[in-house]
Amino acid sequence: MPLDRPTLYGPELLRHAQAPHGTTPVPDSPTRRSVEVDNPLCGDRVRLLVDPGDPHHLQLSHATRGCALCIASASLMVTQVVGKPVVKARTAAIENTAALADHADTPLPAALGAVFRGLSAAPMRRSCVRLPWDALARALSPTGPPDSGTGDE
Amino acid sequence: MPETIDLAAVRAQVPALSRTVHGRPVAYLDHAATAPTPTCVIDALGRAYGPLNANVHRGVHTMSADATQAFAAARRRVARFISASADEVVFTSGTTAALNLVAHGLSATRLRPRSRVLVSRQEHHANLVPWQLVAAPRGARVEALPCDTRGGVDLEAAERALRAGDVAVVCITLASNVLGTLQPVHELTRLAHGVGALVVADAAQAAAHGPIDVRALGVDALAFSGHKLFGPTGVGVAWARRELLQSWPPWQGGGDMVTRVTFDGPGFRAPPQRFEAGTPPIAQAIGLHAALDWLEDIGWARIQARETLVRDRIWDRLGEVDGLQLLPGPADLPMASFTFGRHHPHDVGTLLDQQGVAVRTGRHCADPIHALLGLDATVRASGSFLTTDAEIDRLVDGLRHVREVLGAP
Repeated sequence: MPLDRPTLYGPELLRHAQAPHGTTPVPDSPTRRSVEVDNPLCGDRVRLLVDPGDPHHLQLSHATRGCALCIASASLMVTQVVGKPVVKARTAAIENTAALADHADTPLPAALGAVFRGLSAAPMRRSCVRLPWDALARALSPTGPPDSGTGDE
Repeated sequence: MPETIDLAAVRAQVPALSRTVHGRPVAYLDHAATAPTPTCVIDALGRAYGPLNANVHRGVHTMSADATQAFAAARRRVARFISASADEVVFTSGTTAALNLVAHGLSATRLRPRSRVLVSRQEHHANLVPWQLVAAPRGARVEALPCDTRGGVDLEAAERALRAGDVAVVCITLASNVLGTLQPVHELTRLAHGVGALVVADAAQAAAHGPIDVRALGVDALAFSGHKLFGPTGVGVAWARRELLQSWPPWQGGGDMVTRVTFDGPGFRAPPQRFEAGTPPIAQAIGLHAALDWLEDIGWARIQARETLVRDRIWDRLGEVDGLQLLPGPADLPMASFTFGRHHPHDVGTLLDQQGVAVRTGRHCADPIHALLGLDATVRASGSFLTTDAEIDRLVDGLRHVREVLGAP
């Protein structure tokens, strides 16, 4: 039976993609970090400004260029980690990056699944959703952010 | 005027075209990635893995002899398709392996320090990356062929680049897998030969649209894949002039490509076996034979007439879509690549897929042409003689749906 509505591009995803949260740059500070990752295969690019100076209150903004899924994922990420403890944001980045691995077969965490409910039918798009979380994992790495790279490294 | 193809009857011979995707009949517009396989090829594979299932070459039993004959017949059939001799046809796993083989052979015999390899900007990575891999260790350089604004070879500038000296090899695709345009291969080959350079042609796209006469074309080596002309995956063809093949060292070592092996060293067979180490793609070659026969039975003139109509309809209908930007054309092949305003190609492709329309998105393993055009990614709709008007119309309807979901492009 033909589908009446797309299952991936639902209203929650489109809201995040068309009016993304967290695009106002985090103010400059001695503890602010910048990380940029891209997917050279499609041109998606995420630039994060992250300030973990207050360990109980992460500041984060993004400038994302790319597909609707990548932009929506960055926006959703902002709602999940901004104002939260840095350690929780780091854990979320690691967990979500793993959950969105190309061949992962476990259900997505609830918050991701609610927005990207149709992702199971479009597995090639996991990398789009993962890219912002890759960037956050790099930015919050205990050793500090490495040089900017691709989401595949 | 050639007799037209009974599309319904021919499409009925291609099982993949009758499947559904997301509850809708598929509109398959990704022929440039791979062509759907007709039943006769599937049946040929069944015979190859059924009664013909044996290893080839030196078995003295009947099954091996039968398999060997079928494999040899496939080689002769391919040779006829490209107007070559059978001993010039090397079976590989695909175009990529074939071009790697050619690059390996020419690097050993032609590349020196300061040698230049000129590569067109429309090239698929398969006819660029292998040259980058072999050139660097030999102190040779890979450079872009001068081109026009859409990446087509600028023959006047190319001649100047050739006359600058040290050009050992020129790499050119017969047809761009992004733009669907034909390159001036014959003219470029004449210019290249004028300075002693050899020409390596990527025929992966072009081979699906008609027989290739390598003698008339004048190139020195050429490669194509089985699966792009309705044959199986896992088989490709490397063709090179006999004297070139005979001069090349082996590419891979192992069984079947040797005459005698001792611990003092091996002796090597003549081409093409010298370049077919191990068990070759037997079933796949037999399947490719069946595909070539199927296409010939349909009739190349009728196929090409139908492709012209498909191409025209793709370009006409896409030209009606507000906000859609076609890449420079028009195409010579039944395909078009485009962007859709601010909408990322991956979003366009996913939403089209949800409407049952299969297109390809990304860079199509052709980064240089995308860089030249200033594009991160594109959508490519590629038809064939099997494509119906309705499928093209569904592409346009699907783009309307993309606009409804994502907004104006």
